[in-house]
Amino acid sequence: MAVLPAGDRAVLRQEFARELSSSRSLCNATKTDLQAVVDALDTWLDSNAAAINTAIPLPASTMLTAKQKAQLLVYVIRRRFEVA
Amino acid sequence: MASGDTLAVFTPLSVSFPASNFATPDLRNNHPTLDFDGTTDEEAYFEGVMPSNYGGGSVVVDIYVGFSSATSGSARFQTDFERVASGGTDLDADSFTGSMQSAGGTANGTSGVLSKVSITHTAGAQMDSVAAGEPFRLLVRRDADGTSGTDDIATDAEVYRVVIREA
Repeated sequence: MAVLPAGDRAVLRQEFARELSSSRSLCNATKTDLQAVVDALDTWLDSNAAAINTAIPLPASTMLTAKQKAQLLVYVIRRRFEVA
Repeated sequence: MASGDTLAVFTPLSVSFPASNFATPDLRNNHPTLDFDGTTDEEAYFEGVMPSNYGGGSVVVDIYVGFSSATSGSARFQTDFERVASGGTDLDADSFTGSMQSAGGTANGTSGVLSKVSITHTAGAQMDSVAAGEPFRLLVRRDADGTSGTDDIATDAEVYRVVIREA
């Protein structure tokens, strides 16, 4: 899977900023700073997708689809950082 | 009237909206506010009447802005006038001047403390030639994409008051 298109990356930054706004969470990162974070994380995930897949043990590794593994990754990250 | 005299005061409760990309009404500690997005240019309209003792000179639009999440950075605002004179403007179509005036403001270091953005309109074309005693509409836009100047705050700007005064 390639990295996300620039438009999708921009939408992610916008959604995150709107979430911060609605909760009035303090954040002074500029639009440029936030976009750089989104871009870097997406690039890192793309570069390390194989390593993440390798970390998933058998037999589930072969039984789950790529999308299901991604869902589990979201679940784990969400719980680790207690984000909504 | 003299320089600095107040001509009109608008609160978020006296707003009207365009069909799309409009500011969102909100409350902060029960203060009504209008949230202007950090990415998309959003607008709000305020309808008023220029006082009959308006001197006919330039005016300043003061926008009192808070920020939902930022305590640093800059936001950019634009304003425009639409004269709604008797026997003049057809309300079925917008007739703002289309030549917005703009200015920037800096977020206060304390969240919840307002900043003031002051935008000057010279008398005449920049005000759509609104005269004393005439109805008008004021457009307020956050220039979130920074077309007219720097707007680097990613999150919402909250407008609490809009005041028009003599320059």
